[in-house]
Amino acid sequence: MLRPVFFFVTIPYSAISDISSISHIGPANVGINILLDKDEIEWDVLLNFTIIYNSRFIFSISDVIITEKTIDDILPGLYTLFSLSSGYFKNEKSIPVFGNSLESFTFCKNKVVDYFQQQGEAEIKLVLFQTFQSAIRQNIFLCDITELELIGTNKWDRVIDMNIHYIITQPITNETEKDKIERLAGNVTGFSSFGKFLEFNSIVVQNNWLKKQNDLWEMRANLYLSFISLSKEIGETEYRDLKKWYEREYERLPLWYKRVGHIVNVISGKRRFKSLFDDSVKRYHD
Amino acid sequence: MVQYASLNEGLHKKLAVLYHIFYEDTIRNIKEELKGIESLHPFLFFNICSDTPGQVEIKEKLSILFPGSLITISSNKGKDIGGKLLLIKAFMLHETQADWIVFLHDKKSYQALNAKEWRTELFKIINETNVKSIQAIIVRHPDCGIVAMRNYVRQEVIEGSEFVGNNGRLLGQLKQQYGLNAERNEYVAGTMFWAKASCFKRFFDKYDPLAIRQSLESGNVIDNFSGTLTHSWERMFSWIVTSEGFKIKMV
Repeated sequence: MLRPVFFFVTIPYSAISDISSISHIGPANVGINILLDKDEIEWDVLLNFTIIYNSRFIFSISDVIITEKTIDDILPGLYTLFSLSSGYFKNEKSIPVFGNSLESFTFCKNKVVDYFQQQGEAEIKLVLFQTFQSAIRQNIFLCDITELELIGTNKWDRVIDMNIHYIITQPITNETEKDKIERLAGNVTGFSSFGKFLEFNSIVVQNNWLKKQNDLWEMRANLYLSFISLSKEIGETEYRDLKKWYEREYERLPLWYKRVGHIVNVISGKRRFKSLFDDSVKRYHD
Repeated sequence: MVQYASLNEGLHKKLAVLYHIFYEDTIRNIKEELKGIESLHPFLFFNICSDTPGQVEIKEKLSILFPGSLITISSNKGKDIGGKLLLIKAFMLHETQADWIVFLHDKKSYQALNAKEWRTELFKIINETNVKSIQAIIVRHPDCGIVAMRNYVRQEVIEGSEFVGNNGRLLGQLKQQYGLNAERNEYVAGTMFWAKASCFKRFFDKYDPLAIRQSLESGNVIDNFSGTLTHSWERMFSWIVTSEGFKIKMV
């Protein structure tokens, strides 16, 4: 099924930590890929950055920060950053990693995947890219601006056919590049846009919308079914507990005591006198 | 430390609200719900459960309703307690300068008979009248560490030195493991209350909230039949504060 393609411009964390060095964040119609490229991360700076720019973001990891020495310390921060990113929840949960050592990547990938699984995130994937060499891996297209220009306006449907969900570009260094990205992202949004489904094929739009609604109602139904099942379980337990209490507190009493109790009920006006001798009459006063 | 102070202006508040969202219709009334504390300009943290239908759209709406807030989406682990632990982690990483934290969640508990009453009562903790009373309590009682609704402060029953009840065994273990020695075993049922932020900062500086979150049960767990770590941590949240000698005050 055709899906929207999301466009992200890379901003290295090292630039964020010195905010004055960021001259170009990227146009409004693209998201941000925060490349974690320093082993010491000031999380307050990073979190404030995501608040201030209030843009859809994902993050990627440089192998500088996921060494055997550092990995355990940054995992909680990585998970927090992941949970803050709606980019990952909107799309496949594939985190790009930039590095050159497959061995180091495998070690860290296992650590990250294990940690995220323990936090309840089962579908997380890490995808290795050679440091800023253009490539298509899984559903991510990593490229530079020149390559995007070469694709040309008429070939975006091919990109979408290749099942690409993210396009990630290198950092923007000047206004010209920013304008180019804006135009190229505009081309992509001709087919796909943030939060909106593909516009070039109305049937696809409709099918996607119907599928989304279908998924949502399925989620709702499952949620409420789980509550019904829980309520039943609780109700049954409460009934059994009450019955046990009744048997312990009342049923064990001698018969003569219970009979006196019924007479007391009649005297106090709660029970009808006739009902002591006849089961077919109304038992209690309303 | 933050290097671009000018960008941070207006972000650091004295009050932080940590709000876990599980139900998709919460977004309809959330602005109205939080009106009582609006004038205090709290720093808002929201966590949306990833089991919630339309969670990304809810996040987008929240960021429009509450610009400048931090919004996470996370797996259904430890119910609202798991969500709040993630928000505590975000609060710690962000180094939010808050003196008090208000814990909230959109409690509906469809399985419970008195769920509606629970929710209405617990949410009174942020209505305008109570907020004024709470501020007065905080000023008048320096030993106050938690402020909660009167009917929701419970006492965990103890016999000899052992806790009784479904969560008893787990509570004993957790208190020992985390070195919490509250004089009385009072806690706030429903985990919606005001708490002194410094107690949480000290505790979670020592113990990573996400490491605790890992240990919690997944899905919609209940403690009606047997004890759960999730419900035990509900009690621990109060004891983190009362173990430092602070008192629970009621409105």
